[in-house]
Amino acid sequence: MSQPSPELSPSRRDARIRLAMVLTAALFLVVAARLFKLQVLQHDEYARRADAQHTHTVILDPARGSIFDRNGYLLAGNSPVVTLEVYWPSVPAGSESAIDSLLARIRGAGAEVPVPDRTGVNQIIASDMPWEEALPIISGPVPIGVNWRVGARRTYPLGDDAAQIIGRSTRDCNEGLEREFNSLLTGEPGVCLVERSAYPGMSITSPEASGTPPVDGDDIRLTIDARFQNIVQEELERAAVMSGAEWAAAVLVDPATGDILALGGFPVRAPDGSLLANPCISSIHEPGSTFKIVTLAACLEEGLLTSSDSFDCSAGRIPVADRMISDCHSFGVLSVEQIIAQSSNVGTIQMAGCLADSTLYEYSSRFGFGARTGIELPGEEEGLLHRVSEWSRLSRACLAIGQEVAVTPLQLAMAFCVVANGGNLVRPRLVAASRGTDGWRDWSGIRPRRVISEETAAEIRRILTEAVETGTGASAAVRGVSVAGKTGTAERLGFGAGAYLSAFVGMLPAERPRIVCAVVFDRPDYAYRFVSSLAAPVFSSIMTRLLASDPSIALGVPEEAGGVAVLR
Amino acid sequence: MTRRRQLLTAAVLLGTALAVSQIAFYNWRIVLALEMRELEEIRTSLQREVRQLENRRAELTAPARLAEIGSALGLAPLPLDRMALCCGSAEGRSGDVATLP
Repeated sequence: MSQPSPELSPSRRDARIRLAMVLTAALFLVVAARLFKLQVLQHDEYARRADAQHTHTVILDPARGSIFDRNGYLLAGNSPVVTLEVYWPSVPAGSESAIDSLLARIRGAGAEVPVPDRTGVNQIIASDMPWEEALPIISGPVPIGVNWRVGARRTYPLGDDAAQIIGRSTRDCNEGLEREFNSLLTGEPGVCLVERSAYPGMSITSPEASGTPPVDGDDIRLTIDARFQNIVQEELERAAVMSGAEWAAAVLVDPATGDILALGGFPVRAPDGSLLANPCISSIHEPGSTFKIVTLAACLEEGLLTSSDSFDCSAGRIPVADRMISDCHSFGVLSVEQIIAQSSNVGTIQMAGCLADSTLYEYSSRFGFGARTGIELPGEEEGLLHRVSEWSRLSRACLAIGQEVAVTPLQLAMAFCVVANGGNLVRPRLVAASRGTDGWRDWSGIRPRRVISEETAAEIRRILTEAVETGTGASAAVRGVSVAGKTGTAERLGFGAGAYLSAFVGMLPAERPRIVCAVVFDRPDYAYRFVSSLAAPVFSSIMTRLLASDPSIALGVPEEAGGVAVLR
Repeated sequence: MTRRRQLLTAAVLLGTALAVSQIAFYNWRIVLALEMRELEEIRTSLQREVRQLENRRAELTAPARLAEIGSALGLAPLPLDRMALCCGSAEGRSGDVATLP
């Protein structure tokens, strides 16, 4: 009987080796294919998953842009604040005393501290603590489970003086310019990828991460002058409190450019503390006699009258349709110049008699009434100017003396700018420039529109100077400087007997005005109903303080050959 | 030493060198990242300080405060009737002066 050989036959052994080689090669192929799929085809996906496991994304808040006045004074900035919170599940048992001690330190820094709620999860223990108060607390060891983050709070160094222009920016809402330019001021948030670490506080910015830095919001430079704004607010508040006026407004404008230098309002806040809208753009009223410059301009520009033409105003009243319009007393025969200086209603209505309805309406419209001025503030009213087709038989006479028309104090000031700058209607502007990543960029104004000729404007300025020197605006005079201006008293219909509006709009120096100022008080006490006892003296006070603060204003708009102005 | 042993030694040395350089590179990267974080914190802190100082400067130079301090020091603006303004320059306003009459 033969035994099977323990050795494989060579052919069989070769076959087995080949089989093993094929299997090994196949195995390698499978591994290689899998590797190819993981490393090449699905590389991005797995790389992303890996990144997500060992890094996390932190959103970087951009700094909100600051707001400056025309001289670089900070009107709205940012102040760092710290918020501290406890994540109670992370607080080790037995270390509550450390938290209590921290709360005591926060309380000691003057911040309000809530009652610890250890059954909760996340609790804010200090919100928006000023940086300097929070620094001693967070720079030392902070108990486990307590986190802090730094944010920013908007600050307004000028207080409420410019609050009705700048507005306020809070977590809940934005107002004023803060709202109008919110997208410009906000900037773009950035992203930072941080590598996770097993040790708290040791996370590091990933050196390979492709995060994007935040882009801070643009800074804005306004045309406002903080010194003038402060003066205007102080004078308005003093006079409004003294006279018991419901509201008061004052506008300061550079007539050559339309730059708003101050935009004051009173009251600034409602009894509940909320910010009120700026009355310079949101309160409409009948302009009264201040509107007579439109009638005068139309008559002079159309060549229908000269300033020496005269009208008989001796009756002291004039019948219009079925109504009688009167002066405060009879003046006799007055020239056009005297009619404006004495603010005679009877004379002005006779002047308007020379004009066609459409002409008076056209000039009213060309002076900017009945349309928004386009100032960069939200909530501007457009006023009211009826079309000729809507007029009654009374309308022309009423419009000529500033009735049946509603305006804002800003519209009034811009209309007087036409007279001050030689006949052009300029658009008011509040923003002079903005600063982004590429530096300061000036914001160009809108091209002015001619309303009346330079000669007519100069003639009106002369007549308005007469109104201050010898007429109703005498109490608006400023010592040493020539002032041109017009008073306006309007009865406030719908507010009961004895409700008046007192307004004065003036410019100085009268020959080459650098500043136009409109001052309006609504419903002061009866004793203050006349402009001479309220709006005009306030104009004088504001201008006197302005000149003391910046005497170069008295030089007026510089002429090419230079000039001299002496205050005596 | 056989040729085979030489090759093995070289491979081990090369591997060790690679491993050490890898560890060194990793540590260097961590050190740089920590430095970067430190610098970032300094930058943020300086930015905060700049903002604080800007706010402080604005508070100190507030017009109402300056007027109050000026009055207390007897530096209130001169009355208008004690001022004379002269502008003698045709180019710009560089010739402006303010003098008492």
